[in-house]
Amino acid sequence: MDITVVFQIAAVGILVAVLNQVLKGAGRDDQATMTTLAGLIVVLFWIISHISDLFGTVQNLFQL
Amino acid sequence: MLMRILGGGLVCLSATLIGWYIGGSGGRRAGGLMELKKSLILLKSQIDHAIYTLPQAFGNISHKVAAPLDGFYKRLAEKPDSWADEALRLSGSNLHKDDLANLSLLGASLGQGDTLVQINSIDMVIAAIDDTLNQLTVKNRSDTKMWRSLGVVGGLLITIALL
Repeated sequence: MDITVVFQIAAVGILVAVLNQVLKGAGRDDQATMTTLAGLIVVLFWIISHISDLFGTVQNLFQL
Repeated sequence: MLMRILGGGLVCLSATLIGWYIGGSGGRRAGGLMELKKSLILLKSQIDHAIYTLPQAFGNISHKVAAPLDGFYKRLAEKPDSWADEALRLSGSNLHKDDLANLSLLGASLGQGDTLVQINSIDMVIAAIDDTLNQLTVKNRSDTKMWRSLGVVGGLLITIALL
């Protein structure tokens, strides 16, 4: 697995946290929640193939 | 790699500029409303004290206000009945749709009643503009900061997502 994905996820986490604080400060709590959810979905899209690989590896390892 | 960095930089810059532009829209609207209020105060004094006819008053005001209101009053001086149409033509300015609706309603009472009725109508629109300006002052403070931050952070987010 490429290590840059980890850094990308960390950067997205930091930026989404900043966006969340900015939106909450402006009294837009709904948009803040939506932004957090959007960040989560984007990150999930990135790592879904890696999770699939992990399950495959575990299945092969234990010959399930 | 250089092209990626260059592209990312451009995306960040564009998003930041968009954030600054949207953040400044409230201030531009406030500026437009202040100019509109100034023109209405001038119109009121022209009707009340100088006792000009409406076309003369519109002509005089057109020299004293900034664009796009100068053109608005200039066109009204030539065609005083077209207030509502001309007010809608101001939609390209920084004024909001509600501000233009208020302005076009004033046209219905101008030139219809006596001086007192017209002055009261102008006062009503000025009071509505004052209310809007007060609301904008409070709203602008948080919104400007928010949009500017959103522009910068949004640009960074897009860049990281695309890299």
